[in-house]
This record gives sequence, C-alpha cells and structure tokens, in this order.
Amino acid sequence: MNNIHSFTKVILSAIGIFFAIRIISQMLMPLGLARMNPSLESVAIAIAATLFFGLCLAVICYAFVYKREQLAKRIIGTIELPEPDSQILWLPAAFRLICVTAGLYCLYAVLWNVVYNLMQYFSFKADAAQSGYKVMYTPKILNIEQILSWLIMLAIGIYLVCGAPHFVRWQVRKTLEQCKAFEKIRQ
Amino acid sequence: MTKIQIIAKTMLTISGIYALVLLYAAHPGRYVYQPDKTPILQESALLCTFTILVGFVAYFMVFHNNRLSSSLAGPGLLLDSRTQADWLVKSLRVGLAFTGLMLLPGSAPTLVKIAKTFFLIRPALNEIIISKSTPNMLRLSYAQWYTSIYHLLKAVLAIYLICGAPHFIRWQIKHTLGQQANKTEIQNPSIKN
Repeated sequence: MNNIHSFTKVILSAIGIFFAIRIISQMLMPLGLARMNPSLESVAIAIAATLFFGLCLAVICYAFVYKREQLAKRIIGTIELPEPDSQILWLPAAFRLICVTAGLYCLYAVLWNVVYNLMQYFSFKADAAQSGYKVMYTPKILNIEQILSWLIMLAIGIYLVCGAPHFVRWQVRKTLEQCKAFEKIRQ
Repeated sequence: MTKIQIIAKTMLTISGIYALVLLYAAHPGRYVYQPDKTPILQESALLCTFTILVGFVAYFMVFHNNRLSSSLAGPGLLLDSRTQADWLVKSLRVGLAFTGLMLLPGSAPTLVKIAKTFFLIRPALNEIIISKSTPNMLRLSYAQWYTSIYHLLKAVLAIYLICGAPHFIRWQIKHTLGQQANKTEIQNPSIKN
C-alpha cells in the first residue's frame, strides 16, 4: 500500500459519500409525486422507486465505503507499487478514477430521469377525465428520443463504471505523446 | 510553478468551464417565449452584456489563470521546466477529460436530436425548395433557438474535452512556460547573456 492507494481510497470514499447524499436527497421524491396525484399505479411505482433508490444506496455504500480497499486495488492494478515518482504510474489510475466517477454520475442521471418521467407519466395517466391534457402531455413525457438517450447514457455509464479500459488506454497514450512532443519542441 | 499551483490551475480551469456552462444555462433570454413582444434590440443588448460578464469569467478562470492559481496555492518548491510541462499536460488532460465526461449525460439527448436531424433534413429542404415555406423544424421561438444552440455547443464542448482538448492544452503550456521565461528574464537579466 503506498500513496497512490491511500489517495485512491480517499477519493473513492468521497465519491461514495457524494452519491449517497445525492440519492438520499432524491429518495423521497417519488413518494412526494405520488401524493400529488394518488392512484394505485403511481403509489406502486413510487414505492418501487424508493426501494430501488435504497438498493442503489446500499450498493454504493458497500462498494465505495465498506469495500473501498479492494476497489482501490482493482483501479490501481497491482498491490505493490513504488512511490509515485514516475508519473506514468498514477496517470492510468487517475483516468480510471474519473471514469468511475463520471460513470456513476451517468447512471445516477439515468435513474433520476427514468423515475421522474415514469412518475409524471403515471400521474397524468391517472387523470382519465382530462383526456385532452393527457394526449397533449404524454408523448412529451415518454417518447422514443428520450428512451434512446437514456439507453445511450446507461451504456456509457456501465462502460465508465467498469473502468473504460479502451478510453483509459487511448487517453494515456495520447497524453504521453503530447508530453513527448513538448520535449521535442524544447530540444 | 509548483505542483500545488498546477493542480490549482487545473481546478480553476475546470471551475471556469463549469461556470461558463451554468451561466449560459441561466441566461434570462432563454425564458423569452414571445419574441414579437420583446424588442430584438433589448434582447441583443442583454445577450451582449451577459457575454461580457461570461468573457471576464473565461479570461480570468480558464485562459489567464496563472496569477490567480499562484495566489491560491502560495509558495512552494519550484519545478524545472520539463517537469512543469509534464505535470501541466497530465493534470490538464485528466481535469478536462473529467469535465467532458461530466457534461456528457446532459448532452445525450442533443446527440440523439442531431442524429434525428439527418433524417429530417431532406423533407425540410424539399419543403423549402418546392413549397417555399419554412418547415416546422425551423419555426422556433427565440428561446427555442437559444436552447437548441446552447445544447449543441455544450455537446460539442463535451466531445472536445473528452478528446483531451489538445489545442487548448498546447496553448496553455506555451503561454504558461512563456510567461515563466519572461518572469525569469526580468528577474535575472544576466541569464540572457
């Protein structure tokens, strides 16, 4: 365990706490929306969404706070590393860390959007008497464009949370190339 | 420059880019839904004033942030120019890639809309040429135009940052190292000889 490991552990804990707080702040939102327009569907969706938020919270707390040491070792790659004199060592770790953070942010955005839009959809659906209102708003809430953008975000999020190996490799290669180009210019 | 100064510089750049994105998102002009009732001159003046404000943020936080970063970080062990350039490239690339990745979720709907435009462009051109009327996709209010252009530019910025913003980094390093060299020359004029 060296400085890079300790630094990664601290960053992972910070990421976990940040997303845990964000999820906690949004956890009761579905219940609030269901209260505005109570119906069997919206209440069921609200309870399911709250439970799902709770599950996500538990997974984040487990992976980023409780099991952060294992995660840090996975991100760094090897258990024993020399002190970070050589900057090449910390560069892939830094890129992997930002990818995991961005991936979590992506997944959080998808989760929030899906829950919010589903809640809105079921709230409007409950207004059976106001069919014109429903016809006008329902296509704006759930349409192919939006679902496609969620799928793209979900795919990007999963790829980034997995460490985005191709992206990290490409970024490290390009960064080192740029450093070498500057060295050549100076010489 | 010290290592902490370089990190402060990267943080300032990231914050500056975020501030620019948020400032343009909060621009009051995007809420004008009745352009006929709002004089265009008034709108243009508002946009210009806003752009000047944003320009100040961009100038001091994104482009010329050396003085601010050194005052934030304080004194420390100075790096030689080679290590300095290495650290600058690496920290800026990590920071900018992170900013780009964080802007990406908000740009996903825009990317889908851009893809959709490719399918709609031919019927729209037909409508313009044959029936000489403006197609529905171009009949937008000022607020809708503003929002569309804002989201398009945000998506382009996100992609550029994810690619590592090579031009910006090249310019930053040349600018920073050039400034450092000038500073050393002024402090020790004998070095030149």
